[in-house]
Amino acid sequence: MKNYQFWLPLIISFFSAIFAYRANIYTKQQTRDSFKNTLRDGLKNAKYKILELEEREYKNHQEKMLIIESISDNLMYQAYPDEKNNYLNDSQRKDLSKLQEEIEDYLGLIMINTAPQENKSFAVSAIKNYLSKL
Amino acid sequence: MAETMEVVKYNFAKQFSKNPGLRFRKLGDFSGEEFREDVLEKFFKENKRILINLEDIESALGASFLSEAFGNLAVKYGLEKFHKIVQIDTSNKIGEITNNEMLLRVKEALERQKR
Repeated sequence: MKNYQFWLPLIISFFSAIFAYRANIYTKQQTRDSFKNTLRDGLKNAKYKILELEEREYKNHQEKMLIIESISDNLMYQAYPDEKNNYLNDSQRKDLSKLQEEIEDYLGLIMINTAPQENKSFAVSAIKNYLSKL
Repeated sequence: MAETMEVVKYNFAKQFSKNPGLRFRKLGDFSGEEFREDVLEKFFKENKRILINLEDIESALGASFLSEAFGNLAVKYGLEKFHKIVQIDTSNKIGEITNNEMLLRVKEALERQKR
């Protein structure tokens, strides 16, 4: 009887600890998936915004920069620093950073009306390529 | 004896633009190239420190702007000299965020140069 009183609480705490550990791993996995899904959605939105851009010279600097900023927001520029560190691997982080610069360069060319169709296509390909690595 | 440097406070929004542009001059006004050549380079040549305040900007300094303006100077002059000359005022949120992003772009520019 005494043995039973000693071991039962120990066994219960042991299984509780395992359950808590597994629940913690599951929650982390869910947070990681949720973050990656948010990033995927942002990238897709950026792609649509680029495809929908009017093919003309954007002469108003402020208008141009606001459109670019909105697309950069979709690419999580200057946002979610902790999540990027925790849920993206080194290569995914570096490639996202590179993608943010590349997209700005393509947008710049599109907005001075330099081969807009071609540059839209390059920008969309760069996003698709990143999405395939995510 | 420690070297003392003149520190020049630079209000980015008032002295350059509230809406900084893209990487190259050819892509429009207020580019990273313009900021590097017309503003930052002078501080390196005159050996003065620039303390950049970003408080009043309307749109963020973009990834390509930071890479072009700051990354290229870190590559050209070396990281030690770069940090002696260039400083972003991090006493406000926008300054803190931009400084972190700028340091990342500088690191990446230096890594690209090594390859």
